Amino acid sequence: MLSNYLKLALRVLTRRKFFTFISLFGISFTLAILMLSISALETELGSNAPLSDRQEMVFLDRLVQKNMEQDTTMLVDSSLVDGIMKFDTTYTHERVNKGTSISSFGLPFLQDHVADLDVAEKYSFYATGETFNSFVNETKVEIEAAYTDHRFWDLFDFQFIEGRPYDEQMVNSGATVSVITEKLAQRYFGTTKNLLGREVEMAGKSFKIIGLVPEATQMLLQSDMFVPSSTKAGYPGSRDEYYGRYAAAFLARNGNTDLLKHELNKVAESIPANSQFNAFMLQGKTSKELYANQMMYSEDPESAARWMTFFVFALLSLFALLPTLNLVNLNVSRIMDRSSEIGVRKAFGAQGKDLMAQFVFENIVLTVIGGAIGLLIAIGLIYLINDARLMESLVLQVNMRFFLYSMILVLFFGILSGLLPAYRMSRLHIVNALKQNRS
Amino acid sequence: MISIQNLSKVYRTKTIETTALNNINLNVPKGEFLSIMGPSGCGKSTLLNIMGLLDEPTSGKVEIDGQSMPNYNSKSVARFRNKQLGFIFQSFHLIPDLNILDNVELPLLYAKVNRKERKRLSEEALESVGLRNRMQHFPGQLSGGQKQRVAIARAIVGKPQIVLADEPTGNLDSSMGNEVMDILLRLNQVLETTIVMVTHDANMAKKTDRLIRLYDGTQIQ
Repeated sequence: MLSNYLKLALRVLTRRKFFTFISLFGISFTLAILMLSISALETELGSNAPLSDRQEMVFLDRLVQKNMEQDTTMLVDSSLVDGIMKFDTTYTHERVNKGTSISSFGLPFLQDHVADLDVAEKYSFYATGETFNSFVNETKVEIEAAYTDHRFWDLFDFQFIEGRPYDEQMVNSGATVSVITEKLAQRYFGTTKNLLGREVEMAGKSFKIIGLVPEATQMLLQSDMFVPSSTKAGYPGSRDEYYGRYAAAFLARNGNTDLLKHELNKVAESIPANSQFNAFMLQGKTSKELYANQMMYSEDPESAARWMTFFVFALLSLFALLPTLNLVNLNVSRIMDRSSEIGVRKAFGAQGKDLMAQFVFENIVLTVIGGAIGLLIAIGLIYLINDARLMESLVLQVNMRFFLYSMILVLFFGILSGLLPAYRMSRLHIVNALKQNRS
Repeated sequence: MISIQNLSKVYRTKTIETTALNNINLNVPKGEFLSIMGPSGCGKSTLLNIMGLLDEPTSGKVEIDGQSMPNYNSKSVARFRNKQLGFIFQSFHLIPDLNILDNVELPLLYAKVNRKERKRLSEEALESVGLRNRMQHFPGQLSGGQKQRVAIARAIVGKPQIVLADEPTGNLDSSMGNEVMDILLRLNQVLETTIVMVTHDANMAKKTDRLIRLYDGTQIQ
């Protein structure tokens, strides 16, 4: 039966060239754009190195400090009783927030409060996002540096092309060593070969290269050069000031991120007051929540993540819905054009479900062909985008998961756009269907 | 084989009611070749459609081989049509995207016959209408007479007990019409298939066992 359907589907497609062209054009371009979106999401949010364990990680990027003070508010309520104005005064004694500060962390603060969490299997403290200018042969090279501890390399699985990461002893001794990305190597030296032992000038210091890694595709870890945190000016920083440039990442024991977040909340309650603030919040975030929070700040990162997921799916669904509706419309007229065939098939014993299966199958064949073309277009676009570095820091990837998502998308598209017309057609009255005269 | 009792068919719209068939009583014994004649719009095709379980009567009863069919849209009726009935239409109704062999195979596909057997039976049916050499062609490559012979092969490939033909020679010239009629007669005589044929052509009707006439939905002969 299926081979028969396939034969017929291919015949119909080759015979109705214009319809086929219009359909394939719509399907392939829509799918190409959707696949490109999936690729961007997968590259940024999927579990790829160096963030392979991201589903089990909790990130701590902001310290919320509040100055809570006991305050009294007076509320006067008036009402007219028997022509006489009566006043009712209420005093409320409560702790109110007199000032909030949100910032990243000072390194000593992290070391003092979150270095020994029960639920954290691994952790790392690091500062990213500082940019320095270096000059190579009188040409400016901008370097985005990350100051990290040695645990950084255990937590994030960077794939070393050459060399190795720095160890605890190097960090403790303030060794001016570095791990650089291929991207920086290319910009700084014009090559990615034989770089171990050479030096990069940054922030007035010379850092010896001991490792070479590919650039991380995820924005979260996109730095050009990684150096020990002990080489940072002003290291380690004041114990009294809680804020600084650092963030923390933890690997939750047994992947239990909720428990880890809970432990962070508990730690926050026990943080002693400093000169300005007396109440603190340590909001641990999953990687998804971290992204969502960067896009829309919310006191509740979980709700921000839910909104982001909803927003992304709504946007993609809307984008998929328009061509699907168009395709449904095209399919209805295409199938109704074949009503004589439907009448004949029913007369000779086809049931509604047989016809549904046939027309949905035909549509799946059409969308799979469209999907294959769309996939080729998407791959082409990804290479073009990466090559021209159109998305600056984001390097899009094509991988097996990307193919899988794309195929699911194609099948969903095929079934959705075929189902409604197939259902309508299967309900067609035989006698009416046969009145369409075609041979 | 076919028993029709007090059969009426009325088409209703919001403003008008049209009686297509009015109290028809008819028995078609097994192996009979019956023709139905009458002017256009007299209800011939409607009667044939109801006999073929393609349409429902407004009132009355249709029994085929002793079975009455309550719901023409049910799975069991679809199966019954597949096994017991074959249809030939005036305008052939071949599927243009399928080749001749695949067109003839169609009823066997829904009877869940395996591919090898489907091919064998279809070739046999095409042989019986003299078109075995055309089985890889498509309908668009055949003449009207050839198309109708393919339609006959499709109608008989499942070896149904009854073949219902709606003006099978209506779109053909006389020599092609005679050719098609000869095949139907041979089918009736050799395989004892019961055939009910609607026709405008008195010469064709004369060749059959019995003729009934309809006028304004009523049987007059």
